[in-house]
Order: sequence, then C-alpha cells, then structure tokens
Amino acid sequence: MAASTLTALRVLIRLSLATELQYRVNLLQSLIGGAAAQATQLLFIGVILTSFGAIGGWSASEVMLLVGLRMAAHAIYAFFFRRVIDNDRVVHTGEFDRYLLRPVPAFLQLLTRQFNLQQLGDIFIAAAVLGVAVRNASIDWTFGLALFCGASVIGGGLIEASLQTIRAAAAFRLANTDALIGTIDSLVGTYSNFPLQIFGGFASAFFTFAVPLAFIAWAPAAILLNRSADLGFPAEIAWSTPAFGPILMMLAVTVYHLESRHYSSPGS
Amino acid sequence: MIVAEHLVKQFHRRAVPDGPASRFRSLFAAREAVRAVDDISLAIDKGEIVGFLGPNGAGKSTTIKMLTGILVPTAGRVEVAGVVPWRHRRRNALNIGVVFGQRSQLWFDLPLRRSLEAIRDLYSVSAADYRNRMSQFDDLLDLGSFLDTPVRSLSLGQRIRGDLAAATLYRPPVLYLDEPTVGLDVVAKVALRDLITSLNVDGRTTVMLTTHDMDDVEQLCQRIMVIDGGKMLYEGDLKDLKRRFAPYRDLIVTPRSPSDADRIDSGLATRVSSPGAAKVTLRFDPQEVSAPEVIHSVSSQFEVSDISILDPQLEDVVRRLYGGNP
Repeated sequence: MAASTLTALRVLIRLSLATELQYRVNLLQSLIGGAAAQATQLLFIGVILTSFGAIGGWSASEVMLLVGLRMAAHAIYAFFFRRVIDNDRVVHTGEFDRYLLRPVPAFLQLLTRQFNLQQLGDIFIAAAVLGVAVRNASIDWTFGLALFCGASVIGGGLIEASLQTIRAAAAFRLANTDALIGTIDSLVGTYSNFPLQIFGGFASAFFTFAVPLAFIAWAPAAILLNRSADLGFPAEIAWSTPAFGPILMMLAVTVYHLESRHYSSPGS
Repeated sequence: MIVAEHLVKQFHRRAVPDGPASRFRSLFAAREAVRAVDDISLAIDKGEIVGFLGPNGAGKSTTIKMLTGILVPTAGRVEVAGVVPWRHRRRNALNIGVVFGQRSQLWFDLPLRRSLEAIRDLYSVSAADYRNRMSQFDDLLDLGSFLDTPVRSLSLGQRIRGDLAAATLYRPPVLYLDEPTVGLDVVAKVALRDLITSLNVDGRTTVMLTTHDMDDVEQLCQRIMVIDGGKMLYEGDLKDLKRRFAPYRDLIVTPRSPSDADRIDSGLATRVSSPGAAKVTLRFDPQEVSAPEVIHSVSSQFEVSDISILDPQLEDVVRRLYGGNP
C-alpha cells in the first residue's frame, strides 16, 4: 500500500531538509544571496521613484504596495516551487527515472528535491516591504479586503509558478530550456513591478490576457487602492485574481504530467 | 506476471551531416527515427527468474524501462501484474523493485539508513517487517557496516547492495535488475545472488535480470531471452540454447606420459587442443557418440592420469549467438 500524498510530502520534505543541512556554508551563502537579489530590485524601484515621484499616476507609496505584493508573490513561488527550474537537469541526468519508479507524483518529487531554505531571505525582505507598504498606502481595510490581499499574494505566486512549470514541461522534448527560465524571471521581475498602464494599451492587454502578469500584483494593488479604473478591464475580473493562480497551476501541472510521457531517459 | 506484445520504442535524433560547417548545418538537419526496440513480445510467469541478454546497444535497457513505466512505448502493449506501467505509474511502482547498476535510486547526500527509512514510509512497511527485513539484509548483504555512511561515500559494491535493499524492502512481486553485478567483487556478487535466490524461493518474486556476467545467468536463471538490434534473437532455457549453438562437449585428457600428449586421438572425437599442450582436448557431439564411449576409446589406448568433461561455456555460446554464427 502506498503512503497518502500528505505522508509522502512529509517524508520528502524531511529528506530535502536533511540534504540541505548537509551543506551549511552553501546554505548561508544562498540565504544572503536571495535577500541581496530582492534588495537590489527594491533599490532599482527606489531610484525610479525618487527620480520621477510617481509612475503612471500612481504615487510612490502606491507603487511601493504594488512592489510589495509582487515581492511577496515571488517569495511564495520561490519558497514552494523554485525547484521547477531544476527540471532540465533532472531530465538530462536521468534523475527523473527515480521519480517515475516511486509511488509519489513526479512533480511533488521535483519540488522537494531540495528544501528552499535559502529562499527564507526572500520571504523576510518581501514581508518587510509589504508590511511598510501596507502601512503607508491609504487603504480602507475590511476583513474581506485583507483576505483578498492574502489570497492574491498566494495566487500571484502560483501564476509565476505555473509559467515556470509550463517552461519546465518543455524540457521533456527540448534539449535545453535554460534561456526560457531567464526570460520568465526577467519578464516577471521587470514588468510586474510597475502599473502596467504605463506600457500602453497593447502591452497591458498582452500582460493581462496572453501572459497574465497583470494578476500577480497590478490588478490586486488596483483593487486595494481603489484604482480599478486604471486597469482597462472590468473590476470584477481583478476581484477574481486569487482564483487565477490555482487554476493556472492545475493546468500547468496537468501539462507537466502529460509532457512527461515524452521523457526519453538518458542511456536508452 | 510480465506480458509485452509487439513492443516498439522509437526515438528521434537529429542527423549530424559530414563536411564543412557540419555543426551549423546540423541545426537544420531533418530528424531521423531510430528504433531501439523493434517488435518484441515476451511473457514471464510468476516466480520465474529470466536472464535478459544482449550486446551493448541491443535495446535491453530500453525494454526494461518500458516494462518499469519509465518510458512510454511507441507501439505495443505492456502489462505487469495486471497494470499498464506507464498509464498507472503509482500503482505499478508498488508492484516493482528496480536496481540499475549504473545509476542509484537512493538519496545521494544522505546516509543509507535515511533512504531506507524513507522507502519504509513511502511504501507503508510496518515497523516489525522493517526490523525483520533489515536484519535479513544485514545477514546477507552485511548492510549494518555502512548504514550510516552517506550514499555518495559508499563503494560501488556497497552502493549496489544498498540499492538492492531499497528495491526489495517492501517485497515487490516483480524485481528488475539491470546489470546489478557490474564492477562487483566476488564476495559482493555471491551475496547479491544469495539474496535474489532467497527472495525468489521464499517469496516467489519474479525476477528479470539484465547482465553481461554469464555466471549470474548460469547460477540464477531458469530461462533466458537474447535480444540484438531491438529484436528477440532467442528465447528458451539454457540447455536448449547450448544444444542449438554449441552442440558439443569437450573431453580433457592428461596423459600419464607427456610424450603421449601429441598422439592421443580416439577416432570418435575431434582433437581441438594445439600440439605440444600437456592437456589434450577432444570435442565430440553427444548426439552421435556418448561420453563413456569416447573415454573408453582413449583409456584403452593410453594411460591417463586425469580425465574430465567440460560443458560448453555460456560465454562462448552467447558470443556465437550475438555474432549470428550458430
């Protein structure tokens, strides 16, 4: 009898944590590196804001909220799903053979191949930025709005995770998808930090309906700040933001499992 | 227990053209289809140990990977213990244990004990069963001496013993062993064969063994399958194989007087040893003449100090089979 998925997850997390703790110096370096990368982004936005004062009609504190939401969503992705970027290596080295031979979903084994302890740096910085941004922004908080804010952060993380998961699924057929990892990282890291209306109608439509970056931070920030008129699409769609992440993630995992049937296993 | 019908696996590879700028031109070259396994059918009953043989690149690993669910067949049908491996992968995983000699299934950075505890929890092995089986592994594989060593620091022999323990801890009804004895010393090979025999006898475990070591085959397998170029060349028992591809036996005679060595000839058998050798080898077809007749013929003419009969070596038989030289 196989263990339940929850038991399997507990076992896999125990193993990945134990593996991570084997290399403590590396862990410390990664922890500092993760936090530094996030802080650099913050510095970049700070420079833009002090130079321009406002972006697309959004004040410094409003843009700060958008950046805080983006960073928090990214931290969710990085802590729980970052290992999807390892799929190329897992496929090329044949580690994926092992995943297919165990009574546990292969995708779960990929996510837990290493415990993302170093991403705690991302989480601390993101929590601090979001905390400060929420205090400075003028938001009429209600319980519902707070719930929407939390769910949007999780949903935003899932959107980023789903994009990287679909990219990871391509590794089963293509020899190398490294360039795509960087492309998605820079797309999300660059465009999600700004109110998308500044890029014009075509770009904001593209980032809403083709590559749904709008729902990582822009749409939820607009709802929280009562600025949904800037979105260019109905507020009801923006209110649905928390649902998009889980739906896209389910689709991405299905694609991943279907594409895994094209795995050719090295040495065959 | 294991059934495969008309199994095919085809890969697509980009052809590398010859001539100038071949690397650049290869970017635009058409992809060509390569058949690694070409219409293989096989059936293995519960409790059988079958040797799956073939030269390098014959398609053995690809076939095993389709039977284990790692690869999806391009065509054909596979069923293992009533389950289609690639379609019901998790259900299939509970029925099979796999050891790849070339690649470990263990957690590389952690002590072996941690991997085995994880397997115990993932396959819901009870605490009592775990204790009993670990004690058996310790007896047969001397596992206790390296349980707390990280897998990355184990020797090849220790690592394969660890892999075998991990693959059999939950007592799967089917065991696939792909080159399990490659690079092992004699002691480790014997330990491995003992465990496989014990699992087969006590638990009726079905075993499919891929190996280049003919001692493994002679000592473990009741039946063999030989493939080459992705096609089945031979399927049957060892005796039949030897009868078909090496229909002879050798009589080894040591004459009491060395001067007789070059004169010995029974008239019933063909002399195959070179002139000047201290021992004389006489080859005969047991279908045409019996061993006692040849022995009588030699010993009635010469005084001999030692005489023995040698069956054809499986190694030679398989070499003839691979070379298409019956």
